Amino acid sequence: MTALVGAELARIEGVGYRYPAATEAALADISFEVGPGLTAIAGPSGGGKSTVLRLLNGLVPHFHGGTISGQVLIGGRDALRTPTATLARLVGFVFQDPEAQMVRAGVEDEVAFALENLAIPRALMQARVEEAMAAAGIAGLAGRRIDTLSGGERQRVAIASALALRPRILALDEPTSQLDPAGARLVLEACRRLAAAGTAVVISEHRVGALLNMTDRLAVMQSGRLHGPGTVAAMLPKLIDPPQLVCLGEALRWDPIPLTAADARRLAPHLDRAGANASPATGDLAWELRGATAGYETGTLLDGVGLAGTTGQVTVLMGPNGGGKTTLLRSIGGLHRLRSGTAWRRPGRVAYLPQDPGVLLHRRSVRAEVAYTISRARSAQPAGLIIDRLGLRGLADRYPGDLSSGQRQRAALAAILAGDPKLVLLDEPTRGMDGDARRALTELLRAMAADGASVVLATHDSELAAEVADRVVIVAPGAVRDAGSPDAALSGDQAFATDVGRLYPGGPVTVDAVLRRIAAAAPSMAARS
Amino acid sequence: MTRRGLHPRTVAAWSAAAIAVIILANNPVYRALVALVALNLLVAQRRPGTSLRTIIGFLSVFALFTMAYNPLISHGGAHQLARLPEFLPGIGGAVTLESIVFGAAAAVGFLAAALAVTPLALVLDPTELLEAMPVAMHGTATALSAALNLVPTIGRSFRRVREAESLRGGGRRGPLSLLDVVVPVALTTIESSITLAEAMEARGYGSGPRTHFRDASFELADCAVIAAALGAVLVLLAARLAGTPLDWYPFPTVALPTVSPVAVAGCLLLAAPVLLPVAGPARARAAGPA
Repeated sequence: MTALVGAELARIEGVGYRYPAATEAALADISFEVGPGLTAIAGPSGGGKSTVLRLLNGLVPHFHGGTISGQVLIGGRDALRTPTATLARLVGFVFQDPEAQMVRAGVEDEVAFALENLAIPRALMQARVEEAMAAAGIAGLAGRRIDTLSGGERQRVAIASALALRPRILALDEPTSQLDPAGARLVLEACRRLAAAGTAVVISEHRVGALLNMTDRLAVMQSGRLHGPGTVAAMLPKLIDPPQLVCLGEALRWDPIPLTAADARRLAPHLDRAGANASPATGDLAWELRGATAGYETGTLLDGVGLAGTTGQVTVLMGPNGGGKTTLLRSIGGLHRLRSGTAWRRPGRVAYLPQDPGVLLHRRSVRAEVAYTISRARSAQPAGLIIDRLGLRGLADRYPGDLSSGQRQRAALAAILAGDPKLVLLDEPTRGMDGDARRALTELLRAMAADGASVVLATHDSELAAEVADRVVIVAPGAVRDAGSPDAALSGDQAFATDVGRLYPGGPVTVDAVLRRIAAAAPSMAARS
Repeated sequence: MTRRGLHPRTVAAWSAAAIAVIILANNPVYRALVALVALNLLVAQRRPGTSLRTIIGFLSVFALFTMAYNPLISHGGAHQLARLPEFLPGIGGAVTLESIVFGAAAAVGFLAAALAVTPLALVLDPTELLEAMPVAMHGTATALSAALNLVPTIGRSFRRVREAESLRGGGRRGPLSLLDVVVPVALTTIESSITLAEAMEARGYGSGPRTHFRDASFELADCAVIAAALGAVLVLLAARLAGTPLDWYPFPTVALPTVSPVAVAGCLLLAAPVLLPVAGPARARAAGPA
């Protein structure tokens, strides 16, 4: 066994891994070390990020099985021979879905669960629970029930639960992918504080824009191979899905590339309004809510909402976790019974993507899922069309249950968007998706809108909204507000502003739009000079 | 912090006693009593946010299936009501009143058994059950906890899968629509339970003896409920040993079941959790710091 040296807390050497019954290796000859501070692992969907994190606490291979080679040392222990339950003392783990990992009903009980498992004396538990809750920034949640918390709050409870054992390593698997910007900021801030205090924090994320300015080391995982980790500056060119500021900086040849909007603001060129996008033409009424009031046993979320959408229009619903986006989306589709008011839709098939794509996918292949929808819709559309448009050709004959979360999301989208639906309702469609998949979805939605479909999607993904929306509606408990065009809704100091939007109050909010404006202004600038 | 509501081991003991009563007496009257008592317990003690409607719906469908299936495969009995053609493989033959009644009695037994264990899922949090298991049985407890997590998840999955299917044009309505969603619901709920098991493993569950954040001592009500549940089993056992008829079969000629007041009293002892002043869901167990 190789002894750990210096500040290393974990060493992975030459690890190859294959899941049971998988035809391809999930990890191929991975080697890296983890020390105190924050390490970010970026990369596309299905690239192996989650698998690498599960190496750290032994879930791979102890829980998942499969065949593994190489060496994994965690705090000097051979992780391949040490049970996960034992490694839990050294490695805290936070899963992607804050709902799925909760095992107790109360916040303190949840945080104390790991302490109970490792037989920490009850006399010590209360102090450890309070310490972990303070470190995760959730001291104010004491006494609350888990089912009353927002997604961001639940995720920080999960972090506190992992911290209660005072682990030396904290691994987080896409911890912000289901959170609104405010919730994500709080989670990342908690991680930053822990890293500063000496914990080795390892975070996997598809999109690392919010992490770059706080990350000590950055690695990129793709097709089972790891690049790095290295410094952020050294690894930026290897990012598969670089954040907006990096794209803009590279296009405008900024050096060094700024990692925050505040730094970029000093470099951003002034833009005039000449190249601003014109408002899209409006079509016929496609759906309408009148005085819609809806909610659950716990309270009212929509209170007398009046909202309508037209054919050819893409409406994006944004707002805080638990604010009512899903309820509004379902109300539009007639899937949620209104307490009062009316919901009207023009005739035609409704396509609905729920938050959990698993409920859609249970046929033998992705192609069979698409063919099923097409046959039921009595459409002449070939199944291969939408499979190709969503970049799923290589996965078309795979069983959906064997795909990564991002790939499953795309498969679910293909399954519901086939057959020319007239009304498209998507709930967090880019969850777990990498850049290429997001671009394919954006193009597909624009094409469907151009063909006359009305699209409504609920998302926290500001960049998706900036790319695809005709208008943005902000949904908060008891208040639904039409915030207008993406340029108005996603810029300046708005809660959901994109990084580019923060540079340009009033827009533009995408990199392409900035570059178009610069290109459009170039002749007149040349003439003036 | 004083724990509120029934102790997890009390609920587990109650379920075990109810199952024992069902095993000791196959008379549908006693089994129906157990089912009613269990239903009362679920209504009074189930956790906030859990729904009985879907579970009852599922159980009813299975019970109806049992009732309908039995007359097709069992052809004994004195009162022939109809006759299916002999060339029908497996189901051809007489359809008798006795086989229909027997199917109904079997359905009552199935309902009673299912309702007897449902409190483990709807009254307890999935991991509260862990508290009820001896340390040496942590592996079993993990599996049981994950399995019981299926019960509330099934209802949610059922609604979501059926909705997704109908929006994609899966148009069957009524009982037949169940056939379309059984496999997806099973896969979705199993996946959810695997995720829960993975989360528990990652947080050290199964590493050895556990301690408890909350005071896990028994209260007077727990002792009373356990004593009553044990009493129910002993009464039925004593009645059986004393030769009191606890079983009932409709063959060869259907007749009303004999009912023993002693056995009825034994079954009613299981109603202790409902009759005693035990904290219900309004007095949440998890509220407040330790």
